[in-house]
Amino acid sequence: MGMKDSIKKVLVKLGENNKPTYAVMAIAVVKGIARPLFTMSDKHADPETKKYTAIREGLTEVVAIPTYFACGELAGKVANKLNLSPEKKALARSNFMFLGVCAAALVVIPALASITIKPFMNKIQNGNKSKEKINEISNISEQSKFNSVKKEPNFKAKKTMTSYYSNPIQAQTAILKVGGL
Amino acid sequence: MIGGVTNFLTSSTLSSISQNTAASVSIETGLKSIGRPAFILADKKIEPQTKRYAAMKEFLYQATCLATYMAIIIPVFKNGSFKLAKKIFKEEECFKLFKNTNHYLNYRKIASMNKNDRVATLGKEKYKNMFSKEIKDKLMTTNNPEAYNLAKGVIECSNIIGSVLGLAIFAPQVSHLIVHPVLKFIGMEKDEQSKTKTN
Repeated sequence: MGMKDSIKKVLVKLGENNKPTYAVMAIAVVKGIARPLFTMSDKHADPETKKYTAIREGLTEVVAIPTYFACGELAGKVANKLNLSPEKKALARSNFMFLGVCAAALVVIPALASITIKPFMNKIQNGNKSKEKINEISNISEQSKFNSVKKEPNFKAKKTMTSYYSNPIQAQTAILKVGGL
Repeated sequence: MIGGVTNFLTSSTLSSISQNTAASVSIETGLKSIGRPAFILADKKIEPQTKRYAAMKEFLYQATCLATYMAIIIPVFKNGSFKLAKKIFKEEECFKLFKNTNHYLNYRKIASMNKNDRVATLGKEKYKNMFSKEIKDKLMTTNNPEAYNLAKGVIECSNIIGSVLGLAIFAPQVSHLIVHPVLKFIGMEKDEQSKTKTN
């Protein structure tokens, strides 16, 4: 069987039954790769902010892919259990899968992303902050060996609190965004 | 009530939407443009101004993605794929019978009806001169007209490819260009000049 025949077979199958999960999962897979790459290639953004945003974007799609699949397939299985004629059951299966995918897009994925990604990102952020603080303390102690007088000892510590973002709105937005820019 | 719900859940119209990639992806993107900002606004831990900013940004992002997808991606891939398939599968009957995607989809819509409805639909002004005699005979005389799933598969495959390229790569770039100027225009984002003035 040639390549053309194999492609034809796949296309006929897709024409017979195009599951609503195929497109959304394909979009999520490519988004999971493309969006972090776009973010990382932004030359104007701060490296730490880029890393944070790219991880968050990638994780959102990691949550989305299995959720779309699970919601679609589970809804399809519910339709199979209904007491309907075979023709109606086929229609119901397709419709239930579509409604399952819609529910995933509307409620399940944003909810799961809020529950799982936010704490995970907070951990990463806190980990980075504590690392920076350790570095600062060692920097300050090293500097103090050479400088007997230091005008503003808290200068560096103050700077780290805002080092991820240029303004507070941007900082908070990056944490709460579910799947935005 | 239960009968209405059952009719909705087994509706052939809903089924044709669910089997159509472009329609289902458009609906899902529309739902995202409502659901995601709603989740942001419902978060009680964040201050109101920040919530409004993030929700508006998310809404504009999803809305511009949807508009770009519907205006550019769907028409380009819908028509392009059928033309390409006509060249690749030129020996296939479906690509000899139908001129373009819309021509085939109209046939498929009528072919899915029962025989009486098919005859009645073909009598309508819109469909009188749409199909050749060969296709009309097939629709009027056969009990189960051929669905030509290869043609449908080509359309759906191209829609999936178009959706992936459009929504994951092209539309985000377009929306990136639009979102920030719109946010500045409605006063939710300050431009560089006003930032320096306030500082």
